[in-house]
Amino acid sequence: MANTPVVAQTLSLIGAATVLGVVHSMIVPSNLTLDTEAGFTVPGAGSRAGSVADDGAAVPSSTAADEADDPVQMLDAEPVTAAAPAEGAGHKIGLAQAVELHGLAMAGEQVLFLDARLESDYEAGHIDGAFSMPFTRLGTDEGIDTILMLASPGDGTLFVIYCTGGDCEASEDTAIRLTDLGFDNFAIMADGYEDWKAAGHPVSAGTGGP
Amino acid sequence: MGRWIESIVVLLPIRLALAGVFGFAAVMKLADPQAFGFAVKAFKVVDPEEGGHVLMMLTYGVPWAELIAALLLIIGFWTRGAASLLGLLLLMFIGGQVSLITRGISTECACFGEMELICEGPVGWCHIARNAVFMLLTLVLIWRGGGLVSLDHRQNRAGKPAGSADPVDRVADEA
Repeated sequence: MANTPVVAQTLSLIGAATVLGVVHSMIVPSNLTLDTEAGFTVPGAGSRAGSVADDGAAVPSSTAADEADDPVQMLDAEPVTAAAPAEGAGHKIGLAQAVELHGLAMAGEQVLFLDARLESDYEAGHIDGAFSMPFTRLGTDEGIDTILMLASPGDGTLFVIYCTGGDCEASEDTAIRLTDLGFDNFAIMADGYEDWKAAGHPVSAGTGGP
Repeated sequence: MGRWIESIVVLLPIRLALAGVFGFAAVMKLADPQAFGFAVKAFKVVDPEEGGHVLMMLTYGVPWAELIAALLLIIGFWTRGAASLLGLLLLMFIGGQVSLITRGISTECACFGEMELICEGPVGWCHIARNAVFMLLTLVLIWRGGGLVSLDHRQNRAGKPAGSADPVDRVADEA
């Protein structure tokens, strides 16, 4: 048996690893993709609708968003007019929406900005008030404790997640981790930190946050 | 005598070193398969929508392959096969990492889960150099086998008729 040809040995080992991997994936399944059709709710949008609309702020509208072909564009365009909390179609939001939500976060609403980039990138510069929460951190007890300290599943907190921008996937990965923890209200910035910074919106550096 | 020295001074340490590195890497990945899956996805070689099953196979298959190879290297059974398997994995890792760098994608290696070994930060040339060194070590094992301190050698001696065992080992035994 020890003299089995090397190629046969290698192929046997690949087969064994594949079988073990399949069994493992059935016992401990992993979700690697995000349901991009689901929407999000802006906390306090109902009670804030009048004043927000009065001063021209654009917060997602459920009616407009439901009809949107391009959720990002529609969410950028429509102010809140309904009394109920505003909802978005899909998780993706544009820069204008992110700015509005940042205003809500700074005003003390249940809106939290999460930076999904590497911790070193976060320390070099991040959206003002954002917490560093790469998906790797959400896989640790410390990360889970931190996020549960900030919010509880079902309490309506809206997480606004961003990464570098463009086609970076770190935001989606963090969102998937949040979904696994029972959170379902999050928005993902289609534009990332670089776009935010280039547009002159508030940023800060250092470790910050919990 | 030379074969014994080679086995104890060169081959056994290489086997144990590779087993330690890849065994540790496997355990770290298996502890959080989803994180490794995200890391594989970040290479953007496979479209997660269309090639989800390929992603899943890599996510779960790679760590198990590493673990199996590590265990076999420790006991010295199917040493050349285990080293070949690691060599193939390393070839795949190096290819993926070169592809990442040339496409300008910045992502974490996740080679050892949350931990870093030698190289830190986003995937770069350091990771490729490190994997190239590991690759050289696997080539040594593929070339020379597990040595005299291995199950392969014991089975060669016990189960093979005279003249059919690894000629290098037979010379060493006769010596």
